Amino acid sequence: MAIVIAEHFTRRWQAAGLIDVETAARIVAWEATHRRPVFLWAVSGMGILALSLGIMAIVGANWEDIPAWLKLAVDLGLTAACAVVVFVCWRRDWPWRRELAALLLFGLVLSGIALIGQVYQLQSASWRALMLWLVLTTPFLALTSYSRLTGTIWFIAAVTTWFVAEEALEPLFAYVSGTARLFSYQLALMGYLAACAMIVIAVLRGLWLPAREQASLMGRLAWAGLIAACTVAASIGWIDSRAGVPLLGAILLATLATLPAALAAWLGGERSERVPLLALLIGSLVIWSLGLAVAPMDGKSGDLVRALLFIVYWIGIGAAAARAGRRGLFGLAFTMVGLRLLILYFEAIGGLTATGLGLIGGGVLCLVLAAVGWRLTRGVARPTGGALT
Amino acid sequence: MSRAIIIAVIAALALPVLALAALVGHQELLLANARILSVPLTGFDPRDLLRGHYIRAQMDWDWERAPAVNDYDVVDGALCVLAETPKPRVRFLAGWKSGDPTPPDCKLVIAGHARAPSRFAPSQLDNGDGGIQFYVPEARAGDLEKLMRERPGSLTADIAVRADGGAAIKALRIDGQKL
Repeated sequence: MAIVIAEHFTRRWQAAGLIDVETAARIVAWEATHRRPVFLWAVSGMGILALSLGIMAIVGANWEDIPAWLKLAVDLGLTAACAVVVFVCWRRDWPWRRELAALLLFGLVLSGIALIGQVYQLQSASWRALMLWLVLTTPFLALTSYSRLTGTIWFIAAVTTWFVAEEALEPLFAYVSGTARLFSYQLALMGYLAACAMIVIAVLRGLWLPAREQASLMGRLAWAGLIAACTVAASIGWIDSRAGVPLLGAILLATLATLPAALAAWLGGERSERVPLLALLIGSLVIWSLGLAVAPMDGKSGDLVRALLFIVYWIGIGAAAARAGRRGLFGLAFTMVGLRLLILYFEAIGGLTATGLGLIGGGVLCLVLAAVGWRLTRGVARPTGGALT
Repeated sequence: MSRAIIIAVIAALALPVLALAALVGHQELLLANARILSVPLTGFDPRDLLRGHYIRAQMDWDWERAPAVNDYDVVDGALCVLAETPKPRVRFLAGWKSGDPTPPDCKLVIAGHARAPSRFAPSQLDNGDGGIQFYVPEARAGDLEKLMRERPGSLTADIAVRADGGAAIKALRIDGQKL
């Protein structure tokens, strides 16, 4: 696919007189030698999925007739065999086979934990099983798997485990925050802490050369998570936020978590991106804290304050993106500001006629914003690589 | 590639296999050294008996005297089993911890939590609300639910109780026959 796209664009650029015939031929030749086997990956992935589903269906249909010891023996045998395959693929440097085998082993370990729980009727919270899964699998994934796909799946698994443990972590967060209960603030806090932790993990992962690309994507996901956590904290008047819960402890915890993330962003980021990243991090902490502080405000004034926080935050993200030369993120920030203005427009009005006027006004606003955005986006420099996109 | 990296990769790949095998071995060891107690099961909450491949139930004890627990409170302690059959006759020992002396009239002691009204679940089996999950064949879950409702006491669980008060489920039985 990549080679077809490369040929299409080189012909187009050649026809436009941007590149000569030799350059076009060199580009196509380079793409041909550096192509990524996307179809191979897709077909292999579908094959493994079909194989797994087929085995699961046959096993599921006869589940009750299979003795427990046989189930456990087969599961352990498969896990051991898959571990051997991962090792062989890693030693012989077969990247895509190694990655698929590592992902399969990742899944097999989880199914093994679930099977043991079922056979021995173990009663345990799901987060414990997920935690055990991560503890057992993270070392081999870290050492043998460098693809962005594996990194993303591990990232999702880790964040899911974190949020699944919400109930178990409640007493700890409440104690550290110096309050009896954190109510739904805990979710906002957990989102922020997870993003900070992931920024640190991504930077540490990036220290290992073969995993640079994987770490880069994990870093982007972590920054996206931070922005999402702050956006949510600044957007929602939490349902039970009017219970008078002291927020100082939660904000202090978030500040403490920001420090290692800031250090990691400073030491691990590209030189040109250090300042924007640090500004984004500090701005995120401020907006997150303010979002929680204004959460108890209700009515139109609450909506207005939250909308302003949201807009200020996304303007800040846009400014950081422009400074780092990230056109994509700049465009997204501009769109978010436009959308929030549009929503604010509707929040402020009522009745059918007013709604009609709101729709017309909103439409005009969108067109004006699109025109302004087009001009501004063209003014932002091209990206040069790094954590922000 | 350095020898240390190769060793680290082998160790990392062996870790999940060995850990899962150890988990199986640990469970087998716990069951091998435990005493088996047969406890009748009753529905835990009629509106929430079935969820996927397990049924939720609570253990039906024959209380010598009900534990003094307020509504919504959970009291840690242990169950003193005074008689094992026909239905375990029990008394609650509030505050009992593993290593504490066992009263002389107790044949077995099971560490766990008591809740109102007259509910007790062993620590390792408690699902957080006093209910216990039992993995059962999906196709039979409906029948088991009906059985618990219509013929109380016919569905029982074999509980393996260790000397330290820990408990694990060994088997489910219908009228004494293993499920």
